[in-house]
Amino acid sequence: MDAAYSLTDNTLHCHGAWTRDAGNSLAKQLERLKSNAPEHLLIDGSDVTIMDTVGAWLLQKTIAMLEAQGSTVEMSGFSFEAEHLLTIVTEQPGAETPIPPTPHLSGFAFVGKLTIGALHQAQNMLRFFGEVFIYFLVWLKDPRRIRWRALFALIQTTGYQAIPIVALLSFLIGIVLAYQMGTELKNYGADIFLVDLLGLAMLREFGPLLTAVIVAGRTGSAYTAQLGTMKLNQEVDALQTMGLSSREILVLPKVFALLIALPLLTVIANIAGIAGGMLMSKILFGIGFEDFLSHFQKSIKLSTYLVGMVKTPVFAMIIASIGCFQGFQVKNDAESVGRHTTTSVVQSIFLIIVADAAFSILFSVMGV
Amino acid sequence: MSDAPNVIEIEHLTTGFADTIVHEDCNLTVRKGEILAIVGGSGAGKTTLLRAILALHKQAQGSIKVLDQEVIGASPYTMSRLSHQWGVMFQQGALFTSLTVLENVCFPLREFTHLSKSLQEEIARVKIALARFPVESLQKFPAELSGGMLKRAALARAMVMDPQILFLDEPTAGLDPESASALDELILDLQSALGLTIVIVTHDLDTLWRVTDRVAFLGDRQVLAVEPMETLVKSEQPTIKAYFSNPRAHLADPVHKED
Repeated sequence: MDAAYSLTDNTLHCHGAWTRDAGNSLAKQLERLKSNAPEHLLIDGSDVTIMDTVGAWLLQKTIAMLEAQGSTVEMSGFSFEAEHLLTIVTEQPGAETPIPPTPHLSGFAFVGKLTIGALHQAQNMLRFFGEVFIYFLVWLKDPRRIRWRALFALIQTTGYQAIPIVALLSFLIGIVLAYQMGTELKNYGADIFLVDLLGLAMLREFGPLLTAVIVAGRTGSAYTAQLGTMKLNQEVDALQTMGLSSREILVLPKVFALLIALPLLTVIANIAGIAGGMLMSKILFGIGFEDFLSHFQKSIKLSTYLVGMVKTPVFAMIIASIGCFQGFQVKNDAESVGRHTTTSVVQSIFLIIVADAAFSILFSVMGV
Repeated sequence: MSDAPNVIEIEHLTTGFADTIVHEDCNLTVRKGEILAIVGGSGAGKTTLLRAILALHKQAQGSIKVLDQEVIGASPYTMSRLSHQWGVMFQQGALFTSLTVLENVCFPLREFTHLSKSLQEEIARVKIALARFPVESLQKFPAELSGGMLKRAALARAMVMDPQILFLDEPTAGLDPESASALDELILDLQSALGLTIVIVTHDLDTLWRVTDRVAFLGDRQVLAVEPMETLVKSEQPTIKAYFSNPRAHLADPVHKED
């Protein structure tokens, strides 16, 4: 039976299940009582089959409202449990005190707060890079301090284990590039120059850039999430209280590992990309592997390869230091780990592309 | 109380992890309306037993009946119905970090009922007041709360659906003595007020003395004894004796306190 009540003379007969399932309809029904309540009301609960906190709360609220209007209320027939529940619900001071509002910032204050936050962040980043760089110099001066075990483990996870994905994606990009450039060149009967274009694009730009973007997504995010969780777990504080530097123990091996792993991955990406292009050239444009390679040797200079490779340590520095910095910015909760991991990947990829553009300008000025 | 119906019946329970057995052929019953504590040394499987009852630990064989429903191998439908009948307060609170305290307590109401938002909040506020959580902090996020406040908020969330059984995992761990004894009082109040059945996993001897009706002692992969505290401390069983015959245990003993 649905929860309800009926009003006869001065008696309110409650019946049915006064539970949360009937909460909304009960609330509406009781609201109506406000206008036609008698001076003296007897509430009879003998037909209430079951009552939970929701039912008790609504009844209690109604009684309080009626009493505020000047009516007198009497109760009878409620079960022991229901009566107990009503007492508990009535006796909760504070359940109705208004929640103090949280202060809202006006437009100006809001912009100011964001600006100060951004400046603060920039300052922190600068300090972080400085600290890491100092330990970097310390390691170069005294290589015995290098943590070889951590370093090699990190090279394995960030480098070796990334080989399949980097190689596969570069191979596919090689195929796509060869197809797009080849169809255009074929119109001019210049099929063989596909080799020049492909070699130049892959070695100078696509190999390093693609590898850096994949590694930023794969390793930069892992660095942030790991350090962020360690920070939440107070592991970073523990290191500090032992008099150890989290920068040296946690950050530096990660930076070093990526400085070694990213260039090596780029070599593999270059090879796989060229291989993909080579395969496509043979299938679509009939350029044999031997022709391809001999032309490649003649037309691509060593400097092309080196120009691409020179960029990779810079990309590695960007990925590792942004990843670690964002990890240390994590505060309080799991949501913050997620937010900073996103920021880490977005900032890394952004800065990688900015750096790549800067390199292009630099190389064109230098005439390379 | 001994003729009260059983709300939890555990029979021939064996649990374990990949290479270790935690419980072997355990039996335990919890009666309606009692406060039962599960104690035992570290690694005795207190938390694993609790997780098995809540169907969080899947490697369990035997029978666990909660309110006459079999938990082991239960269908998702059974579990979802059952989960409205119990409330759980985890050791660290396990409040959702992206929600405020009020939103956390409202969460089960929002998910499982059709109550209007204002009514949801009112009900949540009753439970929050019942858990003695301060009003000023309702809009705070869990990360901004102290340990004691976290536990109170978690307790309010555990109670919000009017459960019949309340599971408390280490409710007083990490609290200062004052907050811990306030929480003990709260557990007693709630039990007498709402007629709840409460299962507590704890190490806290003060809680054991003050709050519990019976204590289940886990050790050697078994439930070694289920007795009221007064009887349990006199047990001659070596593991139980070792647990209660250290200086800290004696200090909590009310008999010794009166000396």
